[in-house]
Amino acid sequence: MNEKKKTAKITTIRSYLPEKILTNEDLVKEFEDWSIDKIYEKTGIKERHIAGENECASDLGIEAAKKLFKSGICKPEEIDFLLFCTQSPDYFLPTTACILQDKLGLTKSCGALDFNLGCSGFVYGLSLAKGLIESNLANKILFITAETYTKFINSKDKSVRTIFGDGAAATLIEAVESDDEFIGPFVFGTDGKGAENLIVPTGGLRQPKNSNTSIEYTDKSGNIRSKDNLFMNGVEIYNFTLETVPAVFNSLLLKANLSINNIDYFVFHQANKFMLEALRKKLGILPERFYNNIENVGNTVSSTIPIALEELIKEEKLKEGNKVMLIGFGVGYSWAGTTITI
Amino acid sequence: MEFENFLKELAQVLELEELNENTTLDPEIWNSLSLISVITLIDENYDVRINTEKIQNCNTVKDLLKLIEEEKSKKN
Repeated sequence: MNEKKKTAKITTIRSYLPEKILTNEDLVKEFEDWSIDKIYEKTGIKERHIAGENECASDLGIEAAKKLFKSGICKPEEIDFLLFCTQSPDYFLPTTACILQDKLGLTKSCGALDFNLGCSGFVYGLSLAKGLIESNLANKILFITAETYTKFINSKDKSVRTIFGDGAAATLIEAVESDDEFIGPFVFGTDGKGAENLIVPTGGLRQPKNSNTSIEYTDKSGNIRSKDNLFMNGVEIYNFTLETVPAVFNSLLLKANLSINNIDYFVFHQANKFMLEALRKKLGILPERFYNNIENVGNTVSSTIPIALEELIKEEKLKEGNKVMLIGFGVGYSWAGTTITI
Repeated sequence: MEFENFLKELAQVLELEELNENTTLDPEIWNSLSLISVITLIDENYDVRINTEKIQNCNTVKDLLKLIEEEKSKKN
């Protein structure tokens, strides 16, 4: 009997964005010296979704997973592994994925774990899922990315308030029988020297919160934040992106033995419209093959890539058999790239 | 190294009418927008990346050109 190989494939993606929307008009009402056009011009964003006060990243993840099950692709009982990627867990412990197992009605024989990554999270998650499936350790993996960066952001910090949005995505990765590969190869990278450039300095165990850390200060650009808030050195991250992403791009093509023309679409982490356009030009990618749109969602961190893929598939810009290059890069610094076949 | 074209574009980006090697770079010209523009310019022209703090510490345009040459020679 000729047994085909077991290989991992993405079969469904469903995203969820919280109800409350923060528009540029809202921002301009709060800050008189900002203009709607200027915000859009600098960021390419018109709206971001904001999680409710009592709405955690895991709650967003649950809604995304419910949508995925509602699509009929599979039942909760069929999931044998749950991967949850977030930097906004419910607790230090227990693992948020354990709580999700219970709330989603997954079986008790299901494996479940959290992993803490941001912008590179979706691609890393694909690598973990592929590893589990192809080493015969799982067959149907529910991979949820969910983030609520807005909860870390100081409302008077223009640099990040305009950029980040909350959101989640649920992706089903299944074992299929095929001699082809639908996910891979991968390129990974890490540089801890960039840790301070995108960070919430306090609240962890390295620097607990105290009465001093909550003291607000104003930076050179007039942004106000405290050590308890999210800080991002956008310019230095831009430098990092220009240095790192082209290398991943080239490395991936080499590993996959492909040329730029073999790739139907490029979906990179949707950090910032301007930065992505600079990357596209630098890599020589045609605009019609390059996703660059965070107008109505903002930067949802680990969910930007799955949200983009869901949209492209829905609009039939991506069809079965299309080859897509994904590169996630940012907080950490951490980065990873892969190619997938739809 | 060829700097003529770069200097022209740098003048545009920094909104200075004239710019040569000896032009001083006032710390006040640096904000996220000007830094991003200069980083893009350097990347497009020379395919190198320079730490933003080093860029801001340049007193003159000549200092910046030196940094570019240094980074370029590291690559080769």
